[in-house]
Amino acid sequence: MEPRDFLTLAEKLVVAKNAGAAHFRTATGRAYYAAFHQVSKVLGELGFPPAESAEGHVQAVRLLQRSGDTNLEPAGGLLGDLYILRRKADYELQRPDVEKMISAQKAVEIARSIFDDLDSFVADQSRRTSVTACLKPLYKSITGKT
Amino acid sequence: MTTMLLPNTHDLSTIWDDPCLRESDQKISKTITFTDEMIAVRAKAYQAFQAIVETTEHITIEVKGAQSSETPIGSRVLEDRQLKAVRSWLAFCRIASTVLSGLSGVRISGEAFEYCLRKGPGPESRITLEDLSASINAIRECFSVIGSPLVNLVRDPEIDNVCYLVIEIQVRGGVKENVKAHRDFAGKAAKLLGVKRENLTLHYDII
Repeated sequence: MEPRDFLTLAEKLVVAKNAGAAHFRTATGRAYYAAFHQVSKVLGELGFPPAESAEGHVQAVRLLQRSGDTNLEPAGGLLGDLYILRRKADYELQRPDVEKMISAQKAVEIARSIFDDLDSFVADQSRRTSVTACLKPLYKSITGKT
Repeated sequence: MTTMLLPNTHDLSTIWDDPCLRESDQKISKTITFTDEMIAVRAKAYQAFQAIVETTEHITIEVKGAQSSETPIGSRVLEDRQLKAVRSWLAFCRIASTVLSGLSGVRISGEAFEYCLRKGPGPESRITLEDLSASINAIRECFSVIGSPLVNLVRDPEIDNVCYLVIEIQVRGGVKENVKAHRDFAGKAAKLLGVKRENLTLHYDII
């Protein structure tokens, strides 16, 4: 399965017939996980996978934000903000703002934006080389892995 | 806009940079001894703090340790909670001018305020009030913000000992234009905050 499949599902949930709070909260979660897994995939292909545990979410953001790449660093910020949105959607059931269609649409749009940033990064060999050089000395301190 | 008499910034920085305070920052010592002179200057700072509290409705912060406003004769040993209060007063005074510009109209929880002062991670990645002020300015440049931004300290329910400052705002407009604004903010925040950005997140509700 590809991470993008989660994004497709999120898009469908947003426009589903009779969609309600549960759809929109779930769409937000799927949008986040689409972006998170895509980030993990790209970082993994570079040789810097985040942990496959809860800490992996923080590590993915941190790796992007310390990548030294002027487009990936902001994408890390977007992923971090989307993580918080997903967390609100999953845990804060008293919040009405994450139960609105527009909130789920926003999550989907942020995820798309992160995919776009990653796609352009992957297509550019010089950027990949540069980020690899930047993350190599930082990877252990960020993830605890060698 | 609030007008107030601010203490001499040199006086404040003298206190703030006092090695005793710095030492206590690191060790969280139980007591600290103030001299007469320090207490007098602290009282001056406290007056400014009071002025801020009395004249603005924009900042919400826990006001603690009113008893520390006393100016006793001779040296005095302050307890932890009093020292904490003194720190808050001084820091509040120190950044008062920033509060009135970048953080004007921003509601900051007491917990978030404390976090900005010292409860975050190491100095390298701790968000300071100056960072927060710069971030709010960037948000205002990028979004059509409605009402007062709110800053909270939020703990991660899935990961132990991880917490974030969350700036919550309400904005006008459509999804695409706001996500574009979000991207713009993310770019500015990356430049402004560097690695500190991982401890600050933005949540916006499109109205």
